[in-house]
Amino acid sequence: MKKKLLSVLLSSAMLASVLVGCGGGDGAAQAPAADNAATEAPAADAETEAPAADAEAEAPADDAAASGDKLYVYSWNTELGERLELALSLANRQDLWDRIEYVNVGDSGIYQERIDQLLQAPDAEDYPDIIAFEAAYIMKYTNSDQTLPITDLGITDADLAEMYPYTLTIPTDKRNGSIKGLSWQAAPGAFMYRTDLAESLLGVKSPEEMQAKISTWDDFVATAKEIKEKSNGETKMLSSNGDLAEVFRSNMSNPWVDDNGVFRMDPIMEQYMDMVKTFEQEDLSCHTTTWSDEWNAGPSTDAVFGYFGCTWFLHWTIKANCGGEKPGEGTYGLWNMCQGPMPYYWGGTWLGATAGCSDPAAAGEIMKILCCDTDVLTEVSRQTLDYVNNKTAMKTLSDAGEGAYDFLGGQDFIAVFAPLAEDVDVSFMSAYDQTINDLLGTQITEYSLGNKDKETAIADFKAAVAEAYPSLTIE
Amino acid sequence: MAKSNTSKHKTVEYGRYGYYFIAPFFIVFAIFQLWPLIYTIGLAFCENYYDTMWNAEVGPYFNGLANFATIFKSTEGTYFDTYTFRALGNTLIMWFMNFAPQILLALLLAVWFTDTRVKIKAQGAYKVLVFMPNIITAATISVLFYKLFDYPNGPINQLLVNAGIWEQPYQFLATKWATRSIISFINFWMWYGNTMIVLTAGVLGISPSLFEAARVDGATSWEIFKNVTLPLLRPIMLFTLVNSAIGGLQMYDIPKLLTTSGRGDPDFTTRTITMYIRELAFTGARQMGKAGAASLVLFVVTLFFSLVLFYIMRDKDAIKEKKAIKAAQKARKGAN
Repeated sequence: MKKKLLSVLLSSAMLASVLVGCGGGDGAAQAPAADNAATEAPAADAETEAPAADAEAEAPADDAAASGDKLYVYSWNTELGERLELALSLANRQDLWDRIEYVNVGDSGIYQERIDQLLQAPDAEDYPDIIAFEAAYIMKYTNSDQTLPITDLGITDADLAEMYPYTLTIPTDKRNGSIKGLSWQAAPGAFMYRTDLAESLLGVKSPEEMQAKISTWDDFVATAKEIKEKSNGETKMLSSNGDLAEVFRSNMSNPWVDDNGVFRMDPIMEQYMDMVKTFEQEDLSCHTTTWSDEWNAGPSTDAVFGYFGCTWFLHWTIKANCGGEKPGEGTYGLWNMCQGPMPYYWGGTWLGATAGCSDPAAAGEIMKILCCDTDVLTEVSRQTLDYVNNKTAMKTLSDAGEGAYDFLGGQDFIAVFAPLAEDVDVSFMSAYDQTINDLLGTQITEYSLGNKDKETAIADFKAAVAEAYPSLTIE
Repeated sequence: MAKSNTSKHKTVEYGRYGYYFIAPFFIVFAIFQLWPLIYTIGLAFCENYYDTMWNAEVGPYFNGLANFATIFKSTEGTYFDTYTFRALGNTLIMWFMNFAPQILLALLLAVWFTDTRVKIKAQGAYKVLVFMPNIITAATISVLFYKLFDYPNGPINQLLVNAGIWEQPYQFLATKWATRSIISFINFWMWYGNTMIVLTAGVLGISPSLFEAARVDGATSWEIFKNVTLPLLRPIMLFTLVNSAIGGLQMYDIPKLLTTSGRGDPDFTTRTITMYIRELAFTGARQMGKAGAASLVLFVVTLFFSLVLFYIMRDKDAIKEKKAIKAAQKARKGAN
């Protein structure tokens, strides 16, 4: 019996591996045909469905029934699903939520691959209608014919008035200037640190004093050394050396790859390499890996002084891992924020409708409710403390004194983020970022551990980029 | 007359059923293996990738041997100093590091378990224990070892530091040879049980009277092993070696899952050829053409190793005998 069971298992595993193995080859063969079909379909759809969208107020049920099929929404975690459910219930559009089939891919590392495969089969049942994108690769999709301009979805310029400009620069198609995606959050970054440790180790009592101690990178390193010394090595400035990455990346003056397909290494990334090496060699961090279990445990202990984090990071990472849910528990309430050595911005999620979207009007409505509706966004921010992509909403909340956050010991997080969000400059971004940043990470590890000198590490990095993208000109 | 006709008809019917029964395999094989295989060979001679800037497919256009040129020749013009051959080298190193100890231990255990004089108690329990790692999925084992060798506070590091053996925690997974050794060890540990079972079957297939005869003649255990077991085990050994070579060259799951980035950390030194092919085809610029060419290189290398093993393990006595018979037949003909 056992043998039979085993043989059934083994044979099904074999069959499964055979099925998986062939996916790539077949997909490639179908791709060109799929592209043509996909580009032709939406134009017709948008025209016929637009009037229906206008009529939705009177008969939402009919509308849903008319095109009553599911809308497939893809993302890599539960965040977007929770926000969609909240926003649509706030807007009294439960019917739209009922139509959404939310697919959580579960791992942002494989997300791009999964989406690329799904987009190659427009006739499949689970072909995505709305896709969530991260900043590190959104341009790959918005610069292609695989996403629809928001004007095709019934969203007008008036709907975008309240948004932070950078959130519209990123999803703009470089070929014709049309906007292809919307975001409901803005993500300027700050340095988040422990107030109790700052006071006991550095004698720092306010965010302004803290900012003075880390306003340049030299100060930052000096303060890191001071923290290590005064705590006898019990507390380190950062958890992972990789925590520095986003700050430096945001301050590149050129993107990795410019519009002519030329790859350049920005001098600031060399400064980043040296900074990581300093932190590694001088033992100024806990040597963890960003997003590892040990790294996640950091905020609940006294081992880590601070993190570079942005709006979503504050809630989803530090607060979620602080070991408590109200002041007095864990490190809850013992955090503050200040600008840090450089302004930067980190991530955020955009929504885009696919070229083969089964119901662009409904997709447009969903995006409009979650990303453009000031009332809904004000309420979303009030309930979730998200820093939403709507200037009026954030101003309303800040004026009402609702930005004072007990997790930050009463500091007004909106007041800290608001000026930073206005200044975000995203000219450093390109469609290649995620892969190239990963490849740089490999070489920085080698360099920081002393296995390679800087020239070799940079040369190897460039060789790896050339290997991954043979069509680029490497400078 | 009529009778013979019907009986004839019946035999034909039966034969047809046989084809029906084997048809599913051939249909599935043709669709899911044969066609992708042919398609891959075709792609290897084409330029086919995605332009990331616009996420648009380029090709496939026929470009002759250009893909192979980039595989064999680096941009500086040196031959074999490419990522492809480094990945192939990593694979061979890690395969050899796990296979050499694996076959030795498996052979030893197989001989012990089958020896009628060394009567090991609770043999079944040992066999289960030895085979157990093979049942656990590779993913689980990888994550387990990843956690064990974590830096700076993984269990192994804590143990070594607390016991005073090392002063500082050691970055196992950031060190080339440590990571390779861990991967080789996992593969060794997972597969020696499997190899042992195959070899045990092989030893049990040898007639016991041969062992008895050798023992009656006063042979020692070592002499029996060397002169009776090993030569008669040759066909099974050949099977094990070829099987392991093919499996080893396709090593993928453990190195892929053990390293943080999944790209064969540190610095691509544990990236196997299959990991590399997958990266070419599905990440970065999704270079299907070059991935196809690299797959063909892997195929040729696998074929080469298999043929070498077949040659080394050939039955020299049987060949000699055949030659002798032929020579004798010729001599007889000449005499006639």
